[in-house]
Amino acid sequence: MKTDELAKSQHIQYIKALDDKKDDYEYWLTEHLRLNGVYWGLTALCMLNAKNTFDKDKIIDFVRSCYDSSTGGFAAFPDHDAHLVTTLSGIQILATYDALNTLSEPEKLKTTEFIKSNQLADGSFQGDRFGEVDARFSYTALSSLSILGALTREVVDPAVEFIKKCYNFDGGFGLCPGAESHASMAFTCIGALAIVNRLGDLSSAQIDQIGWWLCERQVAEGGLNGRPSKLPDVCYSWWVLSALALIRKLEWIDFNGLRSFILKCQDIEKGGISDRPGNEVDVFHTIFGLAGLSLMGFDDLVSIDPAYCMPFSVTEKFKKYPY
Amino acid sequence: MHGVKRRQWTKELLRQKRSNDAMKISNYRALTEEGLTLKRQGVINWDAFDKTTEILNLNPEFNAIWNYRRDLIKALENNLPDKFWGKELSFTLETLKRFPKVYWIWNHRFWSLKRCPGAEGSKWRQELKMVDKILSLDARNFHGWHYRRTVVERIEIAEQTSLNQQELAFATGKINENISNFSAWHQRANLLPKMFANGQIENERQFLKQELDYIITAMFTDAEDQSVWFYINWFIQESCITSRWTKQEYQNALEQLAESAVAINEDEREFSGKDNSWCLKILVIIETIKKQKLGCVENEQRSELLQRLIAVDPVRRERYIYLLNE
Amino acid sequence: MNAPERRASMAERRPSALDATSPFMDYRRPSLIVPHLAGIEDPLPETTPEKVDVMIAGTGLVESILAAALSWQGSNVLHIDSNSYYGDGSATLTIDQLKQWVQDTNAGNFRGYENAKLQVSSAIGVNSRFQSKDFGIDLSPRILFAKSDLLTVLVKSRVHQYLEFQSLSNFHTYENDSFEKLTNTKQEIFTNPSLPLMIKRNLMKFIKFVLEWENQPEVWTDYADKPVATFLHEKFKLERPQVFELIFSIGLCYNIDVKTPAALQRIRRFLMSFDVYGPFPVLYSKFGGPGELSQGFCRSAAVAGATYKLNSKLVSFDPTSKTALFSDGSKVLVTEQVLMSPSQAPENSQNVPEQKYEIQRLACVVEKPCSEWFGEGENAAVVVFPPNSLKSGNRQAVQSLIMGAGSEVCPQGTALWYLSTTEVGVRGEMDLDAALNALEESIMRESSADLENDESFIQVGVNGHLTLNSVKLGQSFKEYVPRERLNFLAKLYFKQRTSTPAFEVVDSGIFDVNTTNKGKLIPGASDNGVLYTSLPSAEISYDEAITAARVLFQKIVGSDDDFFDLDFEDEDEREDESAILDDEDDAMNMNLAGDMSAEPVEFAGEMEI
Repeated sequence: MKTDELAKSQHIQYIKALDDKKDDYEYWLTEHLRLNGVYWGLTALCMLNAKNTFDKDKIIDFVRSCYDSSTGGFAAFPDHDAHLVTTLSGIQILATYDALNTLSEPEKLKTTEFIKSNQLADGSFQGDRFGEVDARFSYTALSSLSILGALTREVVDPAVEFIKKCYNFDGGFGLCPGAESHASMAFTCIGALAIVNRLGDLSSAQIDQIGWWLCERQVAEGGLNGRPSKLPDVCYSWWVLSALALIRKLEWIDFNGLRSFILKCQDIEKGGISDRPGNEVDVFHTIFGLAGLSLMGFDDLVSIDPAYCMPFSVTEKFKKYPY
Repeated sequence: MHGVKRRQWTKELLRQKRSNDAMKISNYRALTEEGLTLKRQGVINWDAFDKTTEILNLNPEFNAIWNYRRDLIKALENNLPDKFWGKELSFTLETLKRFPKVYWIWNHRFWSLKRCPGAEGSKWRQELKMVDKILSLDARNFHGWHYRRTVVERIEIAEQTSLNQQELAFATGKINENISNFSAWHQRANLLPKMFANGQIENERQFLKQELDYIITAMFTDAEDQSVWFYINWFIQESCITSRWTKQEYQNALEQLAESAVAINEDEREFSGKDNSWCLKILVIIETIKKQKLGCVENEQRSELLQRLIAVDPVRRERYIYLLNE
Repeated sequence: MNAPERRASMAERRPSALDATSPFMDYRRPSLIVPHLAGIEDPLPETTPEKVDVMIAGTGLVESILAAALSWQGSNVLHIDSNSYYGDGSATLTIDQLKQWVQDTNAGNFRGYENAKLQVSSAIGVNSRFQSKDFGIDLSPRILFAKSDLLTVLVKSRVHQYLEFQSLSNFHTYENDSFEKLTNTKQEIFTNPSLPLMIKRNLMKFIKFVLEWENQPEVWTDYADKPVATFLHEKFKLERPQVFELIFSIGLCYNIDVKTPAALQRIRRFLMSFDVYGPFPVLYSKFGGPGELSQGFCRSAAVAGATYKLNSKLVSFDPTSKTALFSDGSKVLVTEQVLMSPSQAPENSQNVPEQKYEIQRLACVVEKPCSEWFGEGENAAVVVFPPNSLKSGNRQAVQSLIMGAGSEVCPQGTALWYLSTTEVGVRGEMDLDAALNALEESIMRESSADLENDESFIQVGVNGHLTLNSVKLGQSFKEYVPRERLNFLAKLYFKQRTSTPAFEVVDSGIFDVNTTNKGKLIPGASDNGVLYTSLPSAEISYDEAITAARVLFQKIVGSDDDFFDLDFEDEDEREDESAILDDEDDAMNMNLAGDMSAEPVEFAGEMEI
């Protein structure tokens, strides 16, 4: 195996074995991320054209078991609490399996209500009833509602106003108005605007400035960082690239440099991708490394939708807002 | 995993880890099972509260347990023991020391402070000291800066005052410590428009002159650092700044920056034989401003500068080509 | 014989069984095992073992590191010292112990040390203001770079748990009769309004370059054989004050002739150490320097099974029968190697390598806190006198280390000054005296009331805009003649020799281990087959210690693979998170093992989307 090749079969093996790690303490410590983990693993497998690696029925049963009938949201694991972030993961997994109909109409309605009930007066979203506000939750809310075909002007318009306030002078977005720019927020904010078909709200000068800030994330080693003077990390291959793709400036970064950085982060024996060369791999960096390669068109990966972080073959079925 | 070195697990190491993990797993699973059962049954008592402490000590990312903890506090609020809130705050502080980047802990701390009794002003002022400490350990902690702005807002509301002056001094201190601290430059660019708008800048002209000197000093100190350049780009285009200059002053300021960029770039070429890409980038911007806003460009260099940028910064060549074709 | 009154040992300050209710009992700190050492807390072993693998004479720092390394590697070690205290040439001594040491030295008892002169004021003594044991004077004071082999070994071996460290950030360069504080951090370069813009740029450029200098030969190869001063001046356009600061304070070089690569290596050592544990490059151990570290390593060796015996002197070693004979008549079979510090060489020894390098040392106790020189919250400083900066026209630099009472080596109101130079003979002593005068004048001037009221130092406004200060520390008082003179409580001069040159590069090649005349036994010699270590060199940092110990280890074991190849995996895998700095009551201790301060791990990735 050469280090300049994507270790596809190893990555498939790695993801397949994720649920066999019950002898590791870390497996139990990450239970609060289980539903997200399933989404990351499944989407990575989709890109690797190995969707059938997971047992569809078992996964759908698990997602169903995370549904919290009292709120209508999804929790990361049975008996945990529903949250906007995990709700999106649940919906994404069901949508990927074309199994949203396993939710009954009343259940779906309840989910929609759960998401909408977390929108605040200024258009922002809190993650759950405890009030944490973050542009991430705007993204997860809008993306979930979009997949459910339940976006409305009443939700979208104030949400967009809030997101636009997260834009900073440097061309990046912060987690709330006034917060420092962070590359992950470029994806959540631009992705959310793209999903609700409101990218046009950004001026062309803003788009240029966003593209500039994003392409300056690429460092000499080829990888991308999340903020100025920070080390590169594979997950930004997604956060930065998806945003660049959505504003149609993907080529503003150097593909070959980024690809070689991502490939250096592979564990070519056991599979999986890490944040930086030589570090421990995890499913989070595995999906975002693959997603970055997919966006750049490398390695024959199934192409991924930069707005939804799901295969185009899945997202093309979504009803596009405005309906 | 973030920042965790990949290890070669020999059979023996793996055996050791497994036997270590087996104990920890059975302990942790039993504990979480108990905690989640209590939660499911809606049990409200101090034993359940202690259980959440135990679990969160092992895993502070367990949001469902934080939620249960908050529900317990709310339900028991009329009957809190002495110094309860003090203990709760030290608990989050201890946990933050070990896990300074876990969102849930920050949230819980904020929630606790909002809820605990005490004079709003002094409560949040005390908290500001904690934030100082966190930011002194990691001056770019994202959570720390975000939390700081939230805490400052609370103080300002409680005391009906503006902390802009003090916060500008704080950001300045952080920039002086390390001019590559973009978090601090960001804060500065956030504060100045507010301070101009509120008339909190005493002698505006002198301030702008000093600010120009400050950023020129920063350019010379580290011309490779993008934090400074992004701030300069803001400074010469932000209306709260430029509207306070006469056309001549604006032009002089741009001239001064351009001269500095040229001098730095000349020095770089002499030293390494290469252009400094940031000097060229700012020269392109300065020329654009002069052309579009001031109409005072004599011999246009834009395409030459961009060609040189393509050579010296090939990673971003497509952007320069885009700018060339504009 | 009554042993002179000694200072509290490390084990007494940090007993092995900490009271669980003690505020020092930190739950995050793995339990300390601080064994007692024979001769101090415990009685001497009545009998020495009959047979050992390695016998080491002299408990100096290198020997103690070696003893610990060998013991943990599995060798059976007997470690002795002819003195009644630990440390040998690295010892930390009380005034009374020092008096005895001076007598012994001048009687020729310690090979390598000569010409010791000690003056002690009557203010120190029984029923006087100060007691002998209030002071801990280092025979070879040292500073520890935050990024260094020794610190790595201290952590790995967990010897750091026996010690307490303090930070040192102030390095002063003496020039034109006044002291300049270093401008070496990005912050100082940025905020110092007296530096011209181009100098700021060039200094920063140099600092960035030097951290990676080996990978950029195109920048310096033309200067490889030239003095670094030429390189700095021509290539980086730096001017004299910066050049001197870089060479003598940051690089801690001895003279202006130092070649470019050698100096770059030393300058980088300082800069790499910055911000490893905080905004300072250097640490030192509280309660005493190398003497304290020696004790720590001896303690570690004892945990691993080494036997310790003080007041024990080797009389002879017979390489044929492998028998070592001691002054008390006992004998031991040494199967592998006898190792010895030259200072402990037996009578009739004829294999001691030539000690051709000279170091002149001066240690003073002054009645003045000297905090003017220290950084905020700190208790020590380094002051360097570059060549030709002193009235004596010094050809070599004089380096000095100032320690205040907070470092627990002297009582409140006093400070220790350590000066040293590689200049030889009478000139050396003249240079030390000239430096001493300069220090004295400066401290009297800077601590005078006139200056205390002077607030005209660098002003940094809240906006960060800098205003030039009207005077620099000391400068405006050049003509100031102090009204009073400084009260010296004690002064110790001595000359020390070593076989280790005052090296320009921190390089293991320098440690050319003294080999015995293999196979060629010198008839009548008491030390045939003995491997000699080197006495402490003029180097002010600890950088030589680990390299020397490692080379010796390799010599004995055949490879250095097992040199401190330790893995103290805690059963419960508690985070190895212990404070290296003495700030236990600080709300946030610094991490030693984890490195919060280095490059904070980026967080965003943990966001679940």
